[in-house]
Amino acid sequence: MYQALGESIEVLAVFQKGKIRPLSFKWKSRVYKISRVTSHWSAPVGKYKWHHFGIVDKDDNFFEICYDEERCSWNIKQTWKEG
Amino acid sequence: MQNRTILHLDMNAFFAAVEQRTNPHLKGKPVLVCGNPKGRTVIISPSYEARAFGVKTGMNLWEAKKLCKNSILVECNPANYVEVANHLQKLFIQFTPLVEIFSIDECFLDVSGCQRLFGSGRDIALKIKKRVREELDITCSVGIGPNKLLAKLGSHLKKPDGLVIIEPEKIQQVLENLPIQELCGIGPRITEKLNKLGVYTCGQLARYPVEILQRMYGIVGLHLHDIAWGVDDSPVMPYDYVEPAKSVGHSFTLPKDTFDREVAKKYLLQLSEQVARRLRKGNYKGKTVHLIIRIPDFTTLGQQVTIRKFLDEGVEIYHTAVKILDKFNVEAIGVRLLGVSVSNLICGSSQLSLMPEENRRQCLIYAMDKINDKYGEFSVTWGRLVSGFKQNNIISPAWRPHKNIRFGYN
Ligand SMILES: [Mg+2]
Repeated sequence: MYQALGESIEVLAVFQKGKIRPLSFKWKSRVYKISRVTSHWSAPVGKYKWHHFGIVDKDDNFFEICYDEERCSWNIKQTWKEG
Repeated sequence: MQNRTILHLDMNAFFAAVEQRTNPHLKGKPVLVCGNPKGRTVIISPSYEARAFGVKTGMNLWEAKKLCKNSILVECNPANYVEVANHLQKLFIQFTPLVEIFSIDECFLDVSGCQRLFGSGRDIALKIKKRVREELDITCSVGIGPNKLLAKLGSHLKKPDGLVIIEPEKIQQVLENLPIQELCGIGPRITEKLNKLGVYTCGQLARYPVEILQRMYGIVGLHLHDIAWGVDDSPVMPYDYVEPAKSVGHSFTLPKDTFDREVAKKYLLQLSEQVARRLRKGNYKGKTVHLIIRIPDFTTLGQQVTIRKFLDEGVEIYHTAVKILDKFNVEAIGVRLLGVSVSNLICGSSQLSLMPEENRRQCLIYAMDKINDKYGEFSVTWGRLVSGFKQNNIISPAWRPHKNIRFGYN
């Protein structure tokens, strides 16, 4: 089941050649290392874009995180809970 | 026409496959991609694991849940599918510029001219399949044939992850016992009519006297005769070809049935605005307005009106649509879905009016369009729509890749 979140998070990411590559993020004072970006899509919100990333951490947890161009801030949108 | 080699590529359970690649926990599980799972919605794309239980596209949620209790509902995420589709198109045009987008997950490739570079049709198909799997973690079925008709038939014959080649000398053999409805272009109505004549297979259709078909269907009759023989000369259009629109339309299923005319009118205004925006974006105007009403028992009613003037303004389309709506007793029949479309189009006519009032209006609409282009749809709109609804969760059947992927070829 997807569990909707929607909290602001801190993310370590590389911005290079017009691409964004998130490396790790801190959520509820725990640091998650991103082992793989499974998917990336962006959607316009007003004049700016939100860049969404499907990611998997070292322990195989799935998260969707999102970069808000306008506010230069990151958000955690949802996670996957088995069962 | 010379010997051609055409590929038809069809992504397998596309939306569900994209969801499974996004979240690896969904892999190997029955996933049902639907509209808003809390609202009234149907299954848009079941994964192959769900199809094994008999779940089909277009089924109601409860029907699907009954067949497959452990299925996982996932709300559709068009932005993600469009991103993957854009990636696919970029991949395909590395082989040939003759890539005709048939829908978001299907396309034709004419590889007749690039076999010296990339190998036979089969080699190219295998290369593409490998790259689609490696780069996007999804599978596709490929059909190869001497034309679009047979290529599409080929990809349809083996799913998922198929590769079917229909060699020119095997055409008769493949078609002989094939039910006519399996051919692209023969819909349920024609199937029913032909069945009444005792025509069930393509072989039977091929032997049916062409004069009778022509008398019954006119030019379509000749086409039916051709496709029964596996003949199809239609070209694969290049990926940057834009077909002139025949009509522009939008429809919307209401969150709940309404028997209130004023509520229906409000939705009608928003739909008219959306249609008008798309008309103006394509530089079209049209003079036939068509209204579709689906009532709670799913009966679909519709009427069209042709007026003297060419329209591209939401409010004008709305007033015409309301005139049609007035012919129906909404309070008695109820409304489940509304659709507005405009046809009888002309392209590229923007003429200044002789009336200053009219010109001011055009300027206002031009300014509104600019603002909405920049800040998103319905950033400025009519007061009546301020508490309106939004519908972002749609991929129009006319979806085409963004212009910004047009690179590499002149
Ligand atoms: Mg498909």
